[in-house]
Amino acid sequence: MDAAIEQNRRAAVLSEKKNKVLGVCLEDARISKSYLAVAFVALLLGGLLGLLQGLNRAGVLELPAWLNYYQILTAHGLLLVVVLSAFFTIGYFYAGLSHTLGGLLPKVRKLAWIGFWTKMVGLVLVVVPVLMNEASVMYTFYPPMAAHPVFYFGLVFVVLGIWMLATGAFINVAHWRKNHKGQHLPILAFFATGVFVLLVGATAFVAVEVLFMIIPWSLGWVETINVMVARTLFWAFGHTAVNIWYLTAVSAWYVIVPKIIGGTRWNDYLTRVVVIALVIMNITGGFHHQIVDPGISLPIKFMHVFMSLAIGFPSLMTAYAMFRVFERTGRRKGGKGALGWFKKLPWGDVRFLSPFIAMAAFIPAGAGGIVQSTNQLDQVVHNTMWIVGHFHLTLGMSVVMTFFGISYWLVPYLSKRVLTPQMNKLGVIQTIIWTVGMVIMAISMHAAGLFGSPRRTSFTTYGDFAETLGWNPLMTAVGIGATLLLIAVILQVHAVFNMMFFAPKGEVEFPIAEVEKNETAAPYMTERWGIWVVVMMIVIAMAYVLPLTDMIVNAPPGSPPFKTW
Amino acid sequence: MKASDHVQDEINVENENTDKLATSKLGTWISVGVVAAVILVTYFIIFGVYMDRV
Ligand code: HEM
Ligand SMILES: [Cu+2]
Repeated sequence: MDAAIEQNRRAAVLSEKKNKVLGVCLEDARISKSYLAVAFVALLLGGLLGLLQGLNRAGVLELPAWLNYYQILTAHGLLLVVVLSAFFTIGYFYAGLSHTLGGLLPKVRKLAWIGFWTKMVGLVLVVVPVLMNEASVMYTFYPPMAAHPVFYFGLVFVVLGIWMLATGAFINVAHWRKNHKGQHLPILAFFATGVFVLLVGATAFVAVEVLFMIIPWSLGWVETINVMVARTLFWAFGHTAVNIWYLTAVSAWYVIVPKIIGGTRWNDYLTRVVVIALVIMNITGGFHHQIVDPGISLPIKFMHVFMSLAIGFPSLMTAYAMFRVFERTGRRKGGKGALGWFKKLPWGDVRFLSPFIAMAAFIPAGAGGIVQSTNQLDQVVHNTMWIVGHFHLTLGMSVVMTFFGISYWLVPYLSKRVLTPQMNKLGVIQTIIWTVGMVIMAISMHAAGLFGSPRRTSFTTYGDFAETLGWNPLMTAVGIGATLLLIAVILQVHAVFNMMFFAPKGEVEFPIAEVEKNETAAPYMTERWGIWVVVMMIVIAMAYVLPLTDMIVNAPPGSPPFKTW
Repeated sequence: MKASDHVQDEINVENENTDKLATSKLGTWISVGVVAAVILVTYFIIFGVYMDRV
């Protein structure tokens, strides 16, 4: 056992040295840069549309007749929760695989490029009908709302692209494992494995929904669709997707942030257990989006409340682990007393500040999530602006601010350029503006939701109904937050492209923290991905077989397609 | 290396750490307490609103 640990450590040191000599592999870097470029263009466009929505709902912007609120909302959701997040995740993890596994294999590189262009083709096919107002079905595309069939074909291409990237990642990981028998996968590659396993699992559900249900129905080959089944398959995907983006952010919290603050990782074993737990328990959480749906029996809903709450446990472990790293590092730097360590953290470094605020935002965000998983309490907030506030905390802060923080070292690293002190300062300013904007927007959304203001509803005064006029000041605040956010978006996108093409040449590190010297290694059990995938499938079967069978056997009449806009 | 030596080594390292690095977990527990408090407060707010409306 000891020998294996020593061997692992030596291998890690060796690969670190090799990377220092060779630097970034330019061919691999080009792949990651392409993905990141698309991600941040999506941020710019999505942010612009977000501002239009915010101003519309504040009552200060009346949209012209040719621009439909729901069309914008569809594009905003897709651009940010699908394009930005997926492209960033892939670019980041492919850079991580290249860095920690000693470069991508030539065939993996090829797969990554084919996957990239497949996704781009899919994207165009999705965007065109949205632009033509033929697909204002929002990013959830719930039947019986029906978009133009081309929209769904686009989704198929996007999924195919994801499968290629996952295959590429698995090939590279398997290759490494073959040459490093008995060793633990480097931690960032371990996270990447979990993320790509989940991506395949999640997209399998939406592929079934789109290929076998929606496409035949939207082409008119079948007349009706089982709405319940479609929603269930969608949320097995949609819920998992956002959790994948979250897991991506979490990887940076465990692996990158400790290095940036000058510390070490805390507990490799726990880290791997958190990844495994999130992979096994994630997909079944999809049902918490249907707690208020009719047609699902109470015992099944009851089981799903537990399954959803279970996902909270790994996050609570993460909270402990993070504070532990911060406290230990801060104390080593001379922080005294109960909370003196806090002041010793590098607050002026955007690579730390941004992910730190992201983590802090996850405290109220996670709390909201736990509460919403309770059937009765969800009835208070379901489909209100509260939910929109919730996922702008989880995604708009926890996930996206971590991505921003990553961009300030990853983009220079990939471009062989440096993060200048001026750019760091700009990053800090950008982080503060984004934080203030998101906090204003999220708080007002939560509050408006508690008073009953519905989500996905363009501006209306409800015939000046007194009860609803009270929402207006809160919605005005949403508009103010949205304006600040767009300023931050512009700064962020400027920073990314500046660091990609114009910043001074130089070398920066890929910050991966080491474990403590005297830490005992995790048991090799954690590396048995075959077992974890089987357990994941068993859990999925427990959650889905009964309700799906029930929905199919006792199917309601089914619905023809509708164009509601 | 004998097992007992190994254990002793670990203890030595641990002692060094304890002196030098003050491995107090007080701050961690305070912070985790804040997390717990936020969860409970959120729960009670929504529970209050729910009870008010049923
Ligand atoms: C510039 C920053 C942003 C602004 C101003 C903004 C604003 C808004 C507003 C006003 C809504 C519409 C609420 C409604 O009518 O239901 C919305 C919806 C949404 N936003 Fe954002 N947002 C921003 C950033 C983000 C980010 C970074 C993400 C995720 C990564 C995101 C994901 C979503 C999603 C998924 C929806 C729901 C769409 C739907 O209901 O179909 N937003 N946003
Ligand atoms: Cu969910």
